[in-house]
Amino acid sequence: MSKTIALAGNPNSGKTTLFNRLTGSSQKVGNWPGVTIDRKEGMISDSGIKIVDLPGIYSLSPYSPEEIVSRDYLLYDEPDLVVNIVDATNMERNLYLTSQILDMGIPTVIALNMMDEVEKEGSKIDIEEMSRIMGCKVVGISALKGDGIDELVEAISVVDDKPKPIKLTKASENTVDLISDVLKGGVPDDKLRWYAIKTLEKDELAIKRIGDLWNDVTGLIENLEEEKDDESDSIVASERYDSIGEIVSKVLISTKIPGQYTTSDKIDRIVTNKWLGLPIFAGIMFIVYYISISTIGGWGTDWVNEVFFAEMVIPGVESFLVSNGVADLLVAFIVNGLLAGVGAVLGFLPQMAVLFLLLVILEDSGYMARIAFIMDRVFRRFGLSGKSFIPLLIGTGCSVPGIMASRTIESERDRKITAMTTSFVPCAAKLPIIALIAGAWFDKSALVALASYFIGIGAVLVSGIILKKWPSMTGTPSEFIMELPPYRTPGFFTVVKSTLDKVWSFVKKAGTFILLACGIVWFLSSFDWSLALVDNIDDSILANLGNAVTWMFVPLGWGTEWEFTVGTITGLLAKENMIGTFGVLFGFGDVSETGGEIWSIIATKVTPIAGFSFLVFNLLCAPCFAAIGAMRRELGSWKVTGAAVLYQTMLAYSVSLIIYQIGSLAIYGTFGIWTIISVLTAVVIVYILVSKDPFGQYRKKGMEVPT
Amino acid sequence: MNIATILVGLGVVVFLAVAAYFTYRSYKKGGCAECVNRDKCDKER
Repeated sequence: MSKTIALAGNPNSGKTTLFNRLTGSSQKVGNWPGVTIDRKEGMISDSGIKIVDLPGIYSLSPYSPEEIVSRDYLLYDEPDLVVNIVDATNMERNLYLTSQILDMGIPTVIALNMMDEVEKEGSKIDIEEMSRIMGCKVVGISALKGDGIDELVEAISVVDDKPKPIKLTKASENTVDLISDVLKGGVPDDKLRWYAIKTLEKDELAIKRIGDLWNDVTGLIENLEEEKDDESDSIVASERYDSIGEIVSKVLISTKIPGQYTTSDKIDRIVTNKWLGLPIFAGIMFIVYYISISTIGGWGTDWVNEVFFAEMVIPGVESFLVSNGVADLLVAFIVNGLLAGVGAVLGFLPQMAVLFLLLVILEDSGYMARIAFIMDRVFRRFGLSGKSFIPLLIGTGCSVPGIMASRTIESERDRKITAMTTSFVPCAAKLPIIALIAGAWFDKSALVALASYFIGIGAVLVSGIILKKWPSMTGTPSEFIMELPPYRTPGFFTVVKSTLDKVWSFVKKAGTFILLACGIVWFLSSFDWSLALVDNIDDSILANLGNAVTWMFVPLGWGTEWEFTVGTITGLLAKENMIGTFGVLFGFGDVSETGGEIWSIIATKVTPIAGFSFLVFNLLCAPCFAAIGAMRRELGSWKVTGAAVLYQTMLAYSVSLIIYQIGSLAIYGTFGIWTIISVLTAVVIVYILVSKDPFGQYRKKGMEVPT
Repeated sequence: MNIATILVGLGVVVFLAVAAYFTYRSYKKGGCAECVNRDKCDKER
C-alpha cells in the first residue's frame, strides 16, 4: 500500500513529536511555536506510508511563508489523507483549522493530541461522539508518551472516505452553493466547496485563482453581507466558531472553572511580569552558567584536562609510541598536533554537556517561549520585532538554523536585520571559547558567560537601531503574536536524546574537522618556508602568516600575540577550531610535562582586559563560513552578505577596542593615541544611536515607511 | 625507519582520511547537527 499522509495542525500542537514517533526520525522539536519552517518527509517503517510534516498554521488564509508552505501542499500536492493534529487542551482554537481542512474534501483523521494533559486536568472528551458529529475518524493520542499511536496508524491505513464539512448557517450555506454553481468548471470539482468558501471570505489567492468569475459572485457576497450586516470573512469566521463551540460543548466535560488561573497562568504572572521578567531571565541564565561553567561542568572539565588528558592519554600515548621506536617527528605530530588540538576541544565537553542539558530542559519546559514574549517589549523599543527572538533562540544552538529560521518573519526588513544579527548570540561552538576565557583569566566565573550572552543580545539591539536608519532597511517592525505554550515537565527521553545529540555533534566535529585542522596548524607551526623543522615556533610558517596580519589587532590588546590572531582566523572555519588551534600552539601536548593547564599558559600571554576584548571580538565578528553561507541564502545576494559580514566585523572591532582601551585606562592607567580613538569611536556609536531616526515620523504614525 | 613508524604512520594517514571523509559528508549534509531543517539543507547544498 502506498499512501501520502500530511500532518497538519496549529503551531506547537505536537506535529513534529508525532512525526518522530511515526517515522522513527529525530527532527528538532521544541516547546514553542515555529520550530518547523518547512515541510519534512519520512516513512512509517515497512508500510509504504509516506508522512509529510507541515509547518504549524492557525488557518488556511496564509500570512507568513511557512503558512503558505502548508496551504500550498494541501491544495496542490493533494495528499491521500490529512492527519489533523488538534491540541486537546485548546480545542476551540485548533478546530478552526480543522473546519477549513474538512472543506478541502481530503480524507481526514483527527489526532486529538495531549489527551494525557486533558485527563490530568480532570476533564474528559467523548471521542466516539466527536467522531460521529464531525463525520471523520477521531483518535485520542499523546505523541510525547506514545499513547494511541497504534490506533492512529490503523486509522491512517483504513480511512479513505471524504469527510463531512462543518456547516455554516443556512443563509451562508445557500450563498456557498450559489457561488459553487458559478465556479463549477473553473476550479477542480473536488475543491469546489473550498474555493467557494474562500471566495466568500474574499481570500486574495482564491480571487486570483478564479479570475473573471469573481465579477459573477460579488453580487451574491454583497447580498449575504447586507442580510447579516457584516463583512463576509467575519461572517464565515464567526459561524465557524459558533459551530465549533457547539461541537466542543457536546463532547468536552471540563472541570475547569471559567476565569480560573491554571498553574501555567500563575507562573506566567511572575515570569512574564513587566518588571520582573528580565531580572528573572538573567537570574536563570546565571544559574545555568554557574552550574555548567563554574561548578559541576567546571569540575568535569578540570578532571578531563588535568587527569584524563594530562596524566593518562597524552603521556600514555607518548610513552607507547616512544617505547616502540616510532620516529620523533611522527610522535610530535600525534601528541603535539592531533592529541593536543582535539584534547583541548574535548576538555570542554563536560561543561558543554551540562550546559546543553540545562538549556534543553529550559526549552522543553516552555520557559524559552516566555523569553521571546518578554524580549518583544525590549525589542520593539529598539525597532525590532519579538519575532526576531525565535531565530536568536534557535541560534543559541547553532547560527545556521537560527539564520534560516529568520525566513518565518513576514517583514523583509525584520527578516534581513534578523539574518544579519542572529550570529551575535553565542552559539554552542562559541561556548568553549567563553569557557576558555572564563577559565584563563576570570576564575571560571559564570558572569563571563552571562555577560557574553547579554553582549550578544545588546549587539542585536544596537544593530536594530543602527540598521533601521539605513535607507534600504527601513520599515515598520512586524506585529508579534505568539501563543504561550503551557509549562510541561520536560520528557526524560526527549531531554536525554536532545542532550546526547548535541554532545555527539560536538564530539563528531572534534574528531573530524577539528582533527584535520589541528594537523594542518601543527604542520604550519612546526616548519619554516624551506620545510625545515623549527626550534622556535616564532620562526614557523604560521608565525610568519600570523605576524603579517596581527598588527591590526594590537589596539585590541591581543594583537601582540600572533597565536591569538591565528586562532581568530581558524575560528572562521568553525568557532571551536580556535580552541584546537590554541591547544596546538600553546602546547597542550606538553601540559603533562609542565604540570600546567592550557588556560594557565594562555593567561600569561595578555592581560585579563585584553582576554575579555579577545572574547568579545570573537563573539561579534564574522561567524563561521557555514553561517555566512546561510546568511547568503536568506539575504539573497553576496553583496548584502559581504556588507553584513563587514558590519559585524567593524562592530566587533569597535566594541573590543573600546573595552580594551578604556578598560586599560581605568585599570592600569594606560593612555595613548588609541585611547583617544576608542573614545571617539564610542562617541560616534552613541551619536548614531541617539541621532534622529529619519523615518521615525512614519513609524510613530504607523504609516508605511517609504523605501 | 622502523616498522612501528611505518605502521603508526599508515594508521595516522587512514585515520585522517576517514576524518576528511566524514568532514566532507557532514559539509554535504549541511554541516549542522541540530539544523531544524536538514532535508531542506541537503537539497540546497
